[in-house]
Amino acid sequence: MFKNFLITIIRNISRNKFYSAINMAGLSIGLVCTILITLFIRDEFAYDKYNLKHERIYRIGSNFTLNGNRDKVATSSLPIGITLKKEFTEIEDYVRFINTGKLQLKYNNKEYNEERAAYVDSSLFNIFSYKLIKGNEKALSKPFSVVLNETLSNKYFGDENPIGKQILVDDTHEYTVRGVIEDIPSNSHFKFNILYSMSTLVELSDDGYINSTEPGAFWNFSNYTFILLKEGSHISSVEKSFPQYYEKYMKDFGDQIGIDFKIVFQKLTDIHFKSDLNWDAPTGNIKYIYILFAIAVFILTIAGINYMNMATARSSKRAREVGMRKVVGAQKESIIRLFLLESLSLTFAALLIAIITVELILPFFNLIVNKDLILSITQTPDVFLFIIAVALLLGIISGSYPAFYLSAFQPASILKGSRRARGGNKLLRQILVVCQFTVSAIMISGTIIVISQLFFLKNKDMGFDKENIIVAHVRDSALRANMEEFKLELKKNPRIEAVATANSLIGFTGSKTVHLYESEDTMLEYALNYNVIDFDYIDLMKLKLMQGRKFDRSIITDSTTAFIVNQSASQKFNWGADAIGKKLQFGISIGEHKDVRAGKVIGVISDFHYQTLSMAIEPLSIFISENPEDRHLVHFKIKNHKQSETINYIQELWKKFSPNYSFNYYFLDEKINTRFKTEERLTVMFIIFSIVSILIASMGLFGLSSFMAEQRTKELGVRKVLGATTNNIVYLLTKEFLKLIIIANLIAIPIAYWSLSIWLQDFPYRIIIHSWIFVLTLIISLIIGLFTVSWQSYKAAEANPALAIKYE
Amino acid sequence: MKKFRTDEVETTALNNVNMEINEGEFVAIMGPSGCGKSTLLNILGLLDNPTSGELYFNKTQVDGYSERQRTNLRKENIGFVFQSFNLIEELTIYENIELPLLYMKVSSSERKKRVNEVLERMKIAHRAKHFPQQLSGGQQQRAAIARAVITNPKLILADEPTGNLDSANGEEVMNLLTQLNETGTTIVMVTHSPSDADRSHRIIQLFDGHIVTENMRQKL
Repeated sequence: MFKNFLITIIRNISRNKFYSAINMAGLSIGLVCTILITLFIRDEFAYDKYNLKHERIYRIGSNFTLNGNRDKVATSSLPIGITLKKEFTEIEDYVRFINTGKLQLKYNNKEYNEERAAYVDSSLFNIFSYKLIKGNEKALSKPFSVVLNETLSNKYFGDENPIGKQILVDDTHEYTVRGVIEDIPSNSHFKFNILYSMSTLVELSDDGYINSTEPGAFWNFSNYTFILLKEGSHISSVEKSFPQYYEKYMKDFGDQIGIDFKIVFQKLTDIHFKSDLNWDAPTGNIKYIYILFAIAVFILTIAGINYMNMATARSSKRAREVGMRKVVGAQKESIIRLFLLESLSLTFAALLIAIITVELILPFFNLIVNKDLILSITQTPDVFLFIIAVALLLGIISGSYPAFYLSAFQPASILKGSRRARGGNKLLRQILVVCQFTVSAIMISGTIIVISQLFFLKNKDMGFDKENIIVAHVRDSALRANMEEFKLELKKNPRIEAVATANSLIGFTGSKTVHLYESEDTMLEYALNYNVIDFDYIDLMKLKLMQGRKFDRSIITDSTTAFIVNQSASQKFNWGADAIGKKLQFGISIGEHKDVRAGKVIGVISDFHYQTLSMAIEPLSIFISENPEDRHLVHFKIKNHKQSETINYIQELWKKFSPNYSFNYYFLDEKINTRFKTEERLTVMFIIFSIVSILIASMGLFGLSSFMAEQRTKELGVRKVLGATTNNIVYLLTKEFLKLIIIANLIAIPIAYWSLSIWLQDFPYRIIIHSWIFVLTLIISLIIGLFTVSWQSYKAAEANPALAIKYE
Repeated sequence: MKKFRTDEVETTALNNVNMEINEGEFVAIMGPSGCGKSTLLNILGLLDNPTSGELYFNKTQVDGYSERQRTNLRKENIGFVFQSFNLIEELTIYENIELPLLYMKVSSSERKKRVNEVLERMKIAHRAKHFPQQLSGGQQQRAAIARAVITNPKLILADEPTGNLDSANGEEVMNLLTQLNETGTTIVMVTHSPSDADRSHRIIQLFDGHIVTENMRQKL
């Protein structure tokens, strides 16, 4: 019997190539999307889980309040790991990371510029499961040791054995390569390429601050600390006893400076989705997972509906078979089995095509999502099981309606030949088409909204000028010291409009430090963002002055005591129109800490986005520092034309001033746009998946409309004989579908509005969802629908009525 | 009695039809279009239940049977021949004929034997691997008869079996049915053709759901 079923199914599929192709294509494309999304989501949920001890690894964050302003950061102080391990038997080990930012490496007189480097404790290999390809777990014990990842090791040394080789870092110190690790998986919340031994810093610093546990050291949250719990221990018992620890190590000093501190323990595997801390590495967004999951369900629904619609619409063709099978002895269940087997065969054939397709397009998908996803039976057996289950479910669900519908046919009524079964339940089919186009309309409007938001972010006036500015990091102290001279030389080229230096990169995260500001008669503390700049910075960035004046070279105190604040700061401190002359102090002096800069406000500038657009503008102070070491960024404002020549000119001059360091630069606007990578990826995925869902839905509509036209051949023939024009007929056939599309859009509007509003809430600066978006969606849906349906309608309308009437 | 219900209208298709068909009989049912011939045939073939009244098959009362029971009874005992042949387009002639045996769970070797036998008997063995559309009307109807007789049914119900055939092919089909009757199969046939009806033992005339005449014929 099974063989007989298979024969029928295969012949049915091959006899109805057109409908089968639509069904197969829809199901395959739907499954391709599902597999890709499954791989993506799986990878997101596997963040940091490659660490064998991930259940026991926690990151220490800091939650502190200064004058009622709460800040939660992902960083912690250097001594906290050391002392926690000492005080708590639950803690097995700790490891600290001190990021170094960009640096230059030299090997064999070849120069490399690298990022993602950190100083780490030698306990690293006890805590994190990095695989050492060369060297052993003691690789980071000795000072001036470095461990590279595989990619860098291959880049520098090729086939040579890297162990024992010397690398010159930033032209200052030689480090010995003592280990090579496999590249850290892409689903790690941090990805270091270069690891230096922490003992290097111990040796380099005179005051031994690295391992110092003097009270002040606990309040500088400058590095990342991870702890490893002993097996069987719980973080809750550490949390419970933390007050005693606080009393012992931190309370006195904290009370002095007026900071209240709470410790934050974050489970390693919670960081990716649950971290809401500042100064964190970029983390994932669980909302995107929900969105993608919904998209996968949407697309599969559309494909499943196609199958149901097509199968029931064509039921009149299958009716005779069903009737005859029943006449000769088939029970109802047997017919149900036949149709379920049919839908399952089709789904599994589609799954096979989908798997092959995924293998082919995965490299491109990886480029889009910036991941290293793989699909293989050995490495991702869970994904295979999952998609097989999905295919099974899809096959059963989409096959069950046709199966029950067709199996209920009464043979007596169909076999006579004169009475034909109607092509399924028309209302149900209409509801299904509305479902499909509702989903498509949600996808279309979602795409428009996501694109608009990205466009908005990229083109939003940041409050400063980001065009035609190139930025370079100055690592050479000599060049930093010679900066004024370098600037003078640069200005000889008329295509270089301005040159300015600063400490923090505009448009990115700012640095925060405690300030004292004048309030009534007292000075209050506030953790204020700041940037250290030079005299040319405000003009180069075209920052707008609102009160007072800019920094002036001719006024000597401007580089020692003057501050300029932004509007938000002035408002925050309640200075109103009298900001000028108010007292402000950078840093606070307690005990030995005398690193303060006290002075007065000389100007207020209007707010600008010195942080990313994903943050609301916070108060800011800017000031000049006499110490050139404080400003490691140099900005060049260049003219629009012949930019490469200008850059060459800068490069030549750079070589003269800083022969040991190469000139590496980027355009500020491009750099700022890289901040929208996540949104960009989402947009690309949205575009692709909405095109896919529209494609599948249109294919279904196309199939359905051709079926309808076919079924109504006789009616249309009669209408034509009675005088209907081609236009009349096209209108007749088209309007029914267009009506459904309009209904679908009406349903989609509130759903899309609601869900996209939730997404937009993440952005402090966001677009308003205007009604034109939905009008545009409707127009797009109608055009697609019209295009899909009218071709078939036109064909039907043009057919010779004589043939249609004679038929049967 | 058999009533058909649509949403608004109730139609009585058969009313007060009392009849008995004996084993080995060849009965023809005649009457104008819409008189209830096919409904009667469907009820006799257990494709449909009467709305009221009693139906006995092989001395067993079957009018209250469930669909499952009717199906079981049908597949063992009744064969059908239709005007429009009703061969399954996706199956070859061989597979079409084999189908009833599959539902009766007959073993594969037995199936092969019986299908080949009946193919020979119906003179369509050379067409076994063809699809229905590739055959002439006469050949298709012979295949349909082959399918009807493959289970050796006690009763064959034929609904205008020659309606779609030319006279030569019609003649041949009627010969086959007559031969089957002669070997003991009971045949009930709906027909418009007086010459086809002439082959039967008894002609039942239906009009508006009633039996108007019952005409015993002496078989020659």
